[in-house]
Amino acid sequence: MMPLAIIASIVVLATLVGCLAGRHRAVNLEEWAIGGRGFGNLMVWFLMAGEIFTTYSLLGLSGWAYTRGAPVLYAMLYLPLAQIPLYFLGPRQWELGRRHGMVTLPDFFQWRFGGEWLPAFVALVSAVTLLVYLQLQLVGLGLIVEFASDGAIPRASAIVVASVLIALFVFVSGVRGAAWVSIIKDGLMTFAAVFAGIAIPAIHFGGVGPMFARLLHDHPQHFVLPGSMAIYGKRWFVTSVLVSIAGACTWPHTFSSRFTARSADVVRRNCIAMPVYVLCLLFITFVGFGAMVVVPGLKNGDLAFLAVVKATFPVWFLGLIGGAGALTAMVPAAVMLVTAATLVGKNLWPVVIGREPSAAAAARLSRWVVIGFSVVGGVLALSNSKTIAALLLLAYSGVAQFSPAFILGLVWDRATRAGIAAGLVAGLVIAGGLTLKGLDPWHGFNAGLVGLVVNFAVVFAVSRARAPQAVALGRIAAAGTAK
Amino acid sequence: MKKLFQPVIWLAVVPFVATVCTVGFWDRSTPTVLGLPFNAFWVSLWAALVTVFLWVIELLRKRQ
Repeated sequence: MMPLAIIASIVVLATLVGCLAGRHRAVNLEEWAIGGRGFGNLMVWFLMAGEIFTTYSLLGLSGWAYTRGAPVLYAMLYLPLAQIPLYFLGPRQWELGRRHGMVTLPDFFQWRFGGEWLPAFVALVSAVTLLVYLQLQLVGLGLIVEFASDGAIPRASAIVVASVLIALFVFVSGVRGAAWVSIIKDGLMTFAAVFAGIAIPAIHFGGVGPMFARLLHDHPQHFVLPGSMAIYGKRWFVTSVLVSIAGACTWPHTFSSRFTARSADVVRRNCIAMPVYVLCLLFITFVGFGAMVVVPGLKNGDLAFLAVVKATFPVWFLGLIGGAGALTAMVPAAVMLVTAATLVGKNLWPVVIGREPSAAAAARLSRWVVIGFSVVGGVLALSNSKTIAALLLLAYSGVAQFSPAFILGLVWDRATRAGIAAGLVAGLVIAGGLTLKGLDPWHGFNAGLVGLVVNFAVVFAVSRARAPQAVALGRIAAAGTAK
Repeated sequence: MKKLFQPVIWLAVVPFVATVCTVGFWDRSTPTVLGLPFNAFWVSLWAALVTVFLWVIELLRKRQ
């Protein structure tokens, strides 16, 4: 009973905070989707940390540590490294967004490359990707809450209730609600992760050092690449880090979140601070490694974190993990919902009706789309189908294919729409084809990176073959002087 | 401008050289450092160092 009460109070409190966050705010798309470009250092930090630290970080990383070993280090490497290109490119993106009223990734495509169908295509792919990622969060939430409440809250009920609550505070407060909920979530989760990461080795092994000493003795191969599964070797490691850095630049919801910053300096400071935060992921891997001894032989590695916590701590701590874990799903899900709905209202709907709707109509539509998308996300999470699992594999390598447009769009004024479009299609077809055929990794290389290399090559070849778009010349130089 | 530009490039490149370009050198479990297998220590160290490098780049930019 106690875990149930703790989970419920955390989630209800967070939802209330999320709803209150949007009081007395203007009702327009810029305010709702990107906080009126007014977030300071802390709010941007919590929003970004909220998006990075998802249920995948909690269950997936500990699961990878448990079943695969050393390959898990890729996640701790790409997040810090991604901040380096973002430190240089992010402020430019922010400055352009402010000048030209951009809110979404397709807005950037529209401004830089023009055309009608390219931005619409990007919006469609982004919305589908976000929807798939949203359902992953809900599936993780169901798993955590069911396990932490010891079955008192069944998975299906958890997913349904959470979908409703997320839709509620997103409808009312938009991205501002997500940022405020993230303050609670981040406080709880960082504490829980660091505490569990220190306590579990201490209780079962007498410390982190003795834990690794024992594990290195028993499973020496687990702790160097390729770890316990032969396919994740050094080639895979390097190419996965690179493709994940590309993806970190162009995940559509993270892209929009950069526009929430009050100034370009806020974007820079966020990049500087973020790598340190990644260290808290290290503690989560400690839990996964500890689980190898404490709860060996789990069929589903994603349960390693929860199982070892259950075997170690009193029920109230499990309740805390359950509540914090639910928020860990709800925050990124909320940001994805805001972005996906904005993509529909701002980028797709005008193409469908063939004219630009009024700003008020686009804002209204986006908010109602939230309701529709959370229903779809919830239904997908409940069905948990194979098709969705395949789509999810595609999502990761898919968003990285937007990165040539982002990077070259900002630094190379000869990149043309035809080049970007051809590269994008080539990249998506190759990355998608290899992944769906089960050929990822392909000869040891991450399939997403294979697609990305072809993508870049096609962009260069096609752009070189044609005259540069006059519209782009000069604009990039101007953006470079952003203060 | 040109002169200031150079160290910035180097500061941005070094973390990549130390990690993704040299996996073969640091991907080993021994010696353990602070109780961590060497590769886990190395990756954590560079996560923290990226913050330091970006901070130095920021200082250089502000001085400019």
